[in-house]
Amino acid sequence: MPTISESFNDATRALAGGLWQTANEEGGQGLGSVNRYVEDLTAVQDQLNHNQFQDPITVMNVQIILADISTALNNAPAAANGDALAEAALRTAHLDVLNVVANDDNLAGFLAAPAALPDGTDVKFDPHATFADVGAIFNDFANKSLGGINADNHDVLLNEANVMFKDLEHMVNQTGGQFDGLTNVHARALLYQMDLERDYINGVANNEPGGRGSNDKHPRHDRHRSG
Amino acid sequence: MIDIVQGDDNLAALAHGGFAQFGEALAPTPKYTDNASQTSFWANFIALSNSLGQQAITDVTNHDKAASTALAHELLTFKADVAAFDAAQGGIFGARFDNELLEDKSTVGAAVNIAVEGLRTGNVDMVKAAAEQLHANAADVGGNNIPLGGGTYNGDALTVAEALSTATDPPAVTEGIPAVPASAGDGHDHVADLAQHFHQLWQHG
Repeated sequence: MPTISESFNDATRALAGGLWQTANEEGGQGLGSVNRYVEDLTAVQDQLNHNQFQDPITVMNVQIILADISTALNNAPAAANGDALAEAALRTAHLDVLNVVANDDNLAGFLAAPAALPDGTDVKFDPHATFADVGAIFNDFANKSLGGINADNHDVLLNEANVMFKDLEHMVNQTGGQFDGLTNVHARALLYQMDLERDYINGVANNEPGGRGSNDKHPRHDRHRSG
Repeated sequence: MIDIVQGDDNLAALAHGGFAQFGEALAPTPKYTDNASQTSFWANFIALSNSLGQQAITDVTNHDKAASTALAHELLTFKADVAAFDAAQGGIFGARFDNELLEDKSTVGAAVNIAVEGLRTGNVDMVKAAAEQLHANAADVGGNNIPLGGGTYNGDALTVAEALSTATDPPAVTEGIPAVPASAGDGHDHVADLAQHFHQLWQHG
């Protein structure tokens, strides 16, 4: 049986980019990450309910975590159907669990979410940006899009993707380039895939809210969902 | 993208903690079970990725400008055919493999463009790096799929027959990227799969 932290880490991984579900399986890929997420959190919930922590601080923290998990489980189905508020609630609850365990030595093994940039950071193209700078933006992007990409966070995420693309493009294309050999191929692949990322973000925008009308013709359970 | 960075020692060192990995999955992402058309596609994709890459190294090493020019054209056709097939699939197939296959938004696009640049400038190192990536990509995506009839793809193959030599009971496959792919995305609305796209784009399951 997986440990509490292994199950929760698997749930965090499932949450990257948002939950999805489908009524019709394709290529043996299952019916969606929402099922995995719910199974993981339910397993965490069960194990926490049966643990006998003695430290009163930890006992209190477990109660906070259980409340967060309850919130996450309640919002997961709506989040998988693209409800921006549910996606935000899911993200907040999930990150709160990680924040609680990070401050309790009795609750170890939970991997932190990718680090967010400090509040107020102005993310913009910088011709002197380093690869580490791009990586820090990517971590912030991954953090902000836990739970899903939607109309509410679209603009900030698209800006970050645009900045990462332009920074990488500058690094790859400037005279001489910064990368050699296979690393140059990898850097170019990264640049190209960042462009693909922008398409996906715009795909979300094109379907929310106006574009979603056409999708609303489908029964809710027949829809796949974006993050 | 996370896998690209963390799988390259130079980029991982430069990232200084950026492109951070998520925790280990409890179970690997299931391999994609292909239909007949997709089986034909992957067999040809693997064979052409490897054979075109090797031919590019030969041509540029021999300083054969005519052959290099012809091969550059062949590589660009390969890139376009692969992208057309992938785009026609849609659905979860697209969600899983767009980042590998979708022209200049993918790993194949990067490798082919660098190979072509190396062929046109006579840069052996560029061509060798691109060929290595074409092979690695073919082995990677081939390993993420199950051919119709079961078994596996041979990621080192230079021919279609070799690519299916480890398949259990594959369908008859002709040479060439299928021109009229069956749509694996039937019944999927456009919104669908976007979370899958994001998830797969960042990290292989």
